[in-house]
Amino acid sequence: MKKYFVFVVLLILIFPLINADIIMPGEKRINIENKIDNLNEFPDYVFISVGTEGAGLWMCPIKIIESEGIIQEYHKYCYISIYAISKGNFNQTLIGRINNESKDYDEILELFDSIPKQKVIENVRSYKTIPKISIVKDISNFYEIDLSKVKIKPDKIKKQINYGEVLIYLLISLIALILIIEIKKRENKK
Amino acid sequence: MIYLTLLLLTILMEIVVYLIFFRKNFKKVLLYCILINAFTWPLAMLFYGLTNFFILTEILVFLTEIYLIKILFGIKLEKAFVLSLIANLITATITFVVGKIFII
Repeated sequence: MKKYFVFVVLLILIFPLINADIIMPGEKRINIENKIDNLNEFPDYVFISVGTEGAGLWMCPIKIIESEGIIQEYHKYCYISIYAISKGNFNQTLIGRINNESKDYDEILELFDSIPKQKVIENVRSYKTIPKISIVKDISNFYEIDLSKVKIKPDKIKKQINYGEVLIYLLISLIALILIIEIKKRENKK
Repeated sequence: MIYLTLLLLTILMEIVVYLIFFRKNFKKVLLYCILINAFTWPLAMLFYGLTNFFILTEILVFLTEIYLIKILFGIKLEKAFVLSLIANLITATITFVVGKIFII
């Protein structure tokens, strides 16, 4: 019986090293990379990202999405939407004016509304809070643009997992299970 | 340190519940309680870490512990069910509150 106690004490000592706890409601912040995969299928359009809620346009400015399709990071309060603007209607000077010169919110909205555009994605976030114990390290969201739809969810989500922690957790459980089986075997022999 | 405290608190509370049920053989109850928690905690942490579903995680822990209590203590399924339910309700509630106060 004594040697079992040594094992279980060791197990308890390992727990805090993992820095995780099911009953702990604390959270941590992780960044989300958002990427549009099929931007090159729309050579006649310019795609812009803009924060449509939360802090407002001046804290969530208009950003042009480059050909790699990566949606740039925004302030944590920005809920980002992606718009398609046909190249014929795209006016970089107007975008610059909205981002840099306009101070009045109504004026910003008026100028923004004057751009002929089409919303293709909404509800994009640059970061997310997850439980501190989470084994997820990073999240990458991938979108496929379809001009006939407004997407509210990514088409593909990739989560990077901390496999070291997963292994430790599984090992502890496995050791406990082996001990349980061993105890039952010995008890059955008696 | 708070993690160790929370873990020990959980085990301590479960031991109290187990002892109320069994009322003898403290060492055996302690060992079985630690082993049960050592098995379910890491798996629960993995599951919760991946899904964020606290209640579902607790339900899975409760169901797993029914079986472990049954085979380790050699008691009927009904009794194991009640024991697991009480132990997990108490620990989940108290440790969640403690976690809220000291960690956030």
